[in-house]
Amino acid sequence: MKHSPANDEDRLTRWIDGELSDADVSDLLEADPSLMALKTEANAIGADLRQEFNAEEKVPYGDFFNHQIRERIQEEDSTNDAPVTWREEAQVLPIFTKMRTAFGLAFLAMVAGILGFTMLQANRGLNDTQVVRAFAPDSSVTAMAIWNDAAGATVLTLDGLKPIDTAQTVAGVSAPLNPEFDWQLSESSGLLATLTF
Amino acid sequence: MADDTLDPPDSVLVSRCQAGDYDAYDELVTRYRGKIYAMIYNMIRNDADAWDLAQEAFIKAWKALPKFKADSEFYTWLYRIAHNTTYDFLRKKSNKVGKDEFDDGIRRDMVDAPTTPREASAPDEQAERTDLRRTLDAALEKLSPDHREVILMKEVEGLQYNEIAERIDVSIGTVMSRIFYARKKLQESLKEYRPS
Repeated sequence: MKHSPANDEDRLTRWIDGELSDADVSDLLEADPSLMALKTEANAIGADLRQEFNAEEKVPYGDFFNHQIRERIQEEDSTNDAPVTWREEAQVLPIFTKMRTAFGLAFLAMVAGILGFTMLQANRGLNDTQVVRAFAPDSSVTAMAIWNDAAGATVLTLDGLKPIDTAQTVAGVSAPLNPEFDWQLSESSGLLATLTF
Repeated sequence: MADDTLDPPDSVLVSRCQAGDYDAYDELVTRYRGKIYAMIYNMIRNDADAWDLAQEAFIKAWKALPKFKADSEFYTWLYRIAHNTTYDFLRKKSNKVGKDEFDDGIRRDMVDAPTTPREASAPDEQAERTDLRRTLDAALEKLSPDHREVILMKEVEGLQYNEIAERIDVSIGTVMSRIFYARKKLQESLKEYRPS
């Protein structure tokens, strides 16, 4: 048999994996007896790797995992805008993965919506109706943003939040421009916020 | 995973996907997300990044589905996309860290990154297992992604040489050479932990 480093490595790998017997590599073992220790160590390391690493893992929040993929695909398919780059998503998603409560996720979506509104042009005609895309990471919460001509306001609604006690004070968010806003609490669907610009 | 052992087979779901049926793709995602997530997590040892990368891989796969010709199994094809996505990530990390050696591309703090809580075991078993895991992580970190990947595929997934070669699109000889090198390197790294 022609010996070459590559050929020897092949034989030794197969021997460690039990495909070749000691007799099949006797020439190599004679030349380097420490190979027996390598085989023992390699098999022990393999056993340790199988103990500590899994070929399959349960994906945390599997349904949400699937939901996000679907949403991202649909967003990219439905808009002509350049898709959000992976780097930008990577900066945003880790924040969402840390927000475990439904209220926390919905609150974040609401803040994102408010920040989005502050970026809008100040001069908006009464007939300039613009639907701003709003997104709630929690699939049980629906976020909508609609310009209301009659009210002369952009209405942000979050539907699906857990009901909260109307006696509670809601703190933490204020509109940066024209801080006139109404918080309306709905017992059935949770918190509604009307922001007037 | 052989196509014909699954119900419905991957080939049926893929055909439906290529006809625009997203629900069929959702089923494929559910079927393979655990394996893809595990592969990526084992490579980079950070659950948040593994989550992102796994999603990225599935999104890329959806976009590339029209070009999938079924000359390989769907999971093998999907695995390659996930493999490339992971390598791109590691390359970017490596460039950010500014090290010359690819092997150093993974920062040590990622080894201790918080992981998803797993099922609890006895405290002493947990401590010992954590110690072993850290030791193995440190040893694997010293391997290049190429060597790390093949040794995990061989030892953890139990793949044959030809299966590994097909998955990562290299020759069997390359696979065997990488396995041999990875074992030698791990033996050296774990010498203190396992005095012979």
